[in-house]
Amino acid sequence: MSEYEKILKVLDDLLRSKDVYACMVAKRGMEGVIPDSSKFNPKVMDMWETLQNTIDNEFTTIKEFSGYGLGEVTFRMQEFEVLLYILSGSDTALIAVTPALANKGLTEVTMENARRSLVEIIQNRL
Amino acid sequence: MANGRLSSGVGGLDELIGGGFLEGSNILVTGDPGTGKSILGLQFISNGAANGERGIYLTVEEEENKLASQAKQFGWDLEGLEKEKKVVVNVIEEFDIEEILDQLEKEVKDIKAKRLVVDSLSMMSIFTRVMDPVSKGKKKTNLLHPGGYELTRSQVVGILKRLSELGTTNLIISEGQEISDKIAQFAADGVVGLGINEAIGTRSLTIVKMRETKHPLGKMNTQIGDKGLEIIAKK
Repeated sequence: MSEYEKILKVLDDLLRSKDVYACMVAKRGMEGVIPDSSKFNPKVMDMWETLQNTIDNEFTTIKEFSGYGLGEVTFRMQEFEVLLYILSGSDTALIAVTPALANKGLTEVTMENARRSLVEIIQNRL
Repeated sequence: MANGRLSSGVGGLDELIGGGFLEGSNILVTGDPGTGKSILGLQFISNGAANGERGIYLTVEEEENKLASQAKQFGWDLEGLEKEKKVVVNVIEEFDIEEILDQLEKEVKDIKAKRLVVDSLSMMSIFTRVMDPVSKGKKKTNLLHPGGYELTRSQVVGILKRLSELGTTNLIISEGQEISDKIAQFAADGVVGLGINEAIGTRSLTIVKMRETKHPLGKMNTQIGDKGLEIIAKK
């Protein structure tokens, strides 16, 4: 299985959580791995373009401060909350779009586990 | 009469762009360093030569032997193709774009080339004497700018027009960061963007535009495999 397929599997598993409407691993310019958007919750699709543009803007901050230990960035937009879990020290983040009123504790654990899986995949590649 | 199509050589790409690049078109390949632009250029030239379509690879950035060794990694025998006169690797030493284009025109006729790779547009701006758009190429400006010379809109359009008149299908490699690269994106018939995420080791290809061609939008995941660049997933 290639790195791409391994990352895609982590994202597909993450998408099975009922509170993860959409997810991806990307850096600025949405460069990375994005699952087939037909797998995303239809609720996000009307806002998808705007959400992507807003996420993309966050990468300016991530690129500048991940080296200082910036771990997570979150923002709320309409009825969505977007979580960006930075892959330690890099310009890349695991991103999930969740409902604003989701069970945060559970989502955070799911995200942290996914981030660890991704870090493991990356470390095995290097 | 509708133009034919030339295979890009990239696994999985031709079927997404109506069978290949439109014959006689200028296709701009943009991307940061390390995204595989030169590999795509070599792939386009080598695959064409293997199908009997002769090509010219024009470069100012790479030494000829570096290109050959890069090609060899993917099983493309550039030196062999050169010996068979199916491919000409032209390392520019002139410092006059007009002379380069004149020489190119002659070579295209000499070998009956159908494919051309210009590697790269960005590097052309280091040439200090360029076509004077006002005199329509009759006079040359003689400007030496510290740190390089930025091609103007007229000059970029002029270069693309000259390339278009060669009758070859042209891949023009661009770093995509200078103003001249942005202008070229408007003037070219097609634009293919290449991307890389070093942190997770993934690559992408985006068909930004492709004249007279229905094509998918959005990034497609790619990889550099044994046979060069190939599409592994459509998003």
